[in-house]
Amino acid sequence: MIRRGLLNLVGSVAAQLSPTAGQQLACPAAEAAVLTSAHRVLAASICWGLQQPFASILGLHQQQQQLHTSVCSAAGSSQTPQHYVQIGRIGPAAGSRKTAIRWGRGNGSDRGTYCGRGIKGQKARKGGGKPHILFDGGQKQLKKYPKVWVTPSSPVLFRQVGLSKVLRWAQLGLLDTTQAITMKDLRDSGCVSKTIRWGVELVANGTERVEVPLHLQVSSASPAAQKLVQAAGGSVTRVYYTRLGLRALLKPEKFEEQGRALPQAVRAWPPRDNGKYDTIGQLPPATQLPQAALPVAAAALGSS
Amino acid sequence: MNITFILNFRSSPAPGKSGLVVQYPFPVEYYSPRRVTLYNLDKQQLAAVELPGDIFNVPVRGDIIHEVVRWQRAKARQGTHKTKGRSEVSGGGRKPWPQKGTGRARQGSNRAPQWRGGGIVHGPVPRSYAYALPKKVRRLGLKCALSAKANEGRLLLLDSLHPTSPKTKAIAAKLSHLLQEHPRLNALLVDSAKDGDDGGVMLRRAARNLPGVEILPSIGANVYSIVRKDVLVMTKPALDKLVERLRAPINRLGAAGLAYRAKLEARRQQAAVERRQQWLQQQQQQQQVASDAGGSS
Repeated sequence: MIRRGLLNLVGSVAAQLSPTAGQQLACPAAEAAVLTSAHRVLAASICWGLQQPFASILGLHQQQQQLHTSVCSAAGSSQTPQHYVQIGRIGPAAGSRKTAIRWGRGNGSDRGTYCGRGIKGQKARKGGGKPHILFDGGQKQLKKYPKVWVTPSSPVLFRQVGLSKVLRWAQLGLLDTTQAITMKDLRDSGCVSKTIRWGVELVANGTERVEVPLHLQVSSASPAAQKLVQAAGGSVTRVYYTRLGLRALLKPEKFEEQGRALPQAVRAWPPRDNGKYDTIGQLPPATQLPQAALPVAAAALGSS
Repeated sequence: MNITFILNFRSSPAPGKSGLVVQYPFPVEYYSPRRVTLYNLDKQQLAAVELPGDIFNVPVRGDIIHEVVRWQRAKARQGTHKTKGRSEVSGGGRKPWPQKGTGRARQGSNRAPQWRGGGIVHGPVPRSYAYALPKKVRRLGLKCALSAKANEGRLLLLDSLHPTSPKTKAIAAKLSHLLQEHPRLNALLVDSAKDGDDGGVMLRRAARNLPGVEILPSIGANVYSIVRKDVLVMTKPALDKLVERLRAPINRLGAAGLAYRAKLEARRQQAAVERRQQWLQQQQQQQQVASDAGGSS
């Protein structure tokens, strides 16, 4: 009896506010949902009362307004509508997160006690197992396998840049061709990655022809790239910088911050690097072009 | 139709296809501008404003919002947690009893993990939880959050949030009138700057003690704050700044790179000026030649 009374009250309130809402409540499913608790019924009626002015005052589009109201009343509860983005409702995309296996956390997980390693033996130990599958304890092997790839203990790896990319940058006007293009220019213009540990290497990378005269100062260049650039009237100078020198070249502001002067250029490169470099890199770099090249470069800048 | 949101349209998945886009019970015309009323602090309607569709009407990717919120909360973690391992626990240098002869298990230190009072194995260590979320994802998250608020009708645009006096009572009354439809008076107020004219110091002084109210400058608008609060109340200058920031290309070059680009631009303009001067000189010379010829003949 009390329930029916409440339902009537709710129905009358709903009918006053919006005829459609009252009709929607008449459906059995909605009735069942509403009649679970008296509190929810009352809260729902208050909610209906609020939803009406809410939609109009915030100036929603007419159609959206009507739909919004009808949706809220169909929900029939004091909870926010399902399509609201709330902190408690957002989650990762399905399949984007893989649960990690947690070994040794109870036998109910099938990964407890022995953690999939069985009982004792070399393979059950930390760091256990053979160096490789064909290892036979170190006796004289039937077959020897050559070391095909040996990583040096501290490799000198230049950051490679393709000649085609440099050309594209020059054509787009992102590189200053009136002066020598240093590794700092390549880095600042975004042509080369910002992380450069040892230097920059120029590679031809399938380029067949160069039309613009470019004057580059890089740590290393492939013979093909050098030939192509020189054929177009440019030059490739292989400059030597130490780690500290390279840092002074690429980030002079770091020295200024610390109140340090730029380091002097070294006097010579190590004898083992004879033939790999043309000149010692200057700090700050010497960017003036040879006299003959200036008019051509200026014309190129004017046309770009 | 401008170019920017055509490109955006091509790069986003078709709304709803992937199952990650929030589906609304009403039709949404993605990327089209949406009209919103501009109010003043007393909730009088001043004008109708169009919100740009490439920022306020994108398909709302719930998973992207989740990613950005997770990143924000992770990088806010202090990470100051530490336990002592067996080498750090005080004591434990001496072998408790001889290796053999006692009948007991062999033990090397009374601070080993198996001992009561011993060190902790692989315990927490102070660390940073920050990681670099791709900048494009961060930007898309902001657009999704703004679009979500606009779609839900929980975005309120004001001309100014500047109160007449720095009294909390006054601003509380104004805000409760603005947000009378919302049960919790939970709002994020966004003005253009901490010292701006449309909010600024006075707004902060007045409203900072109100529970459930967060005040941010336009540069501080972030996905977590926008999604957390029920209503987003933004001023028009703040909106303009935000739109400008979201439309500017993502800066990949850094200060040195921007300086280099500026230098190139200056040089190009210098070259243009020189060419113009040369052309003018040429014109003058030609005119002189013509007048001399005319004069002499």
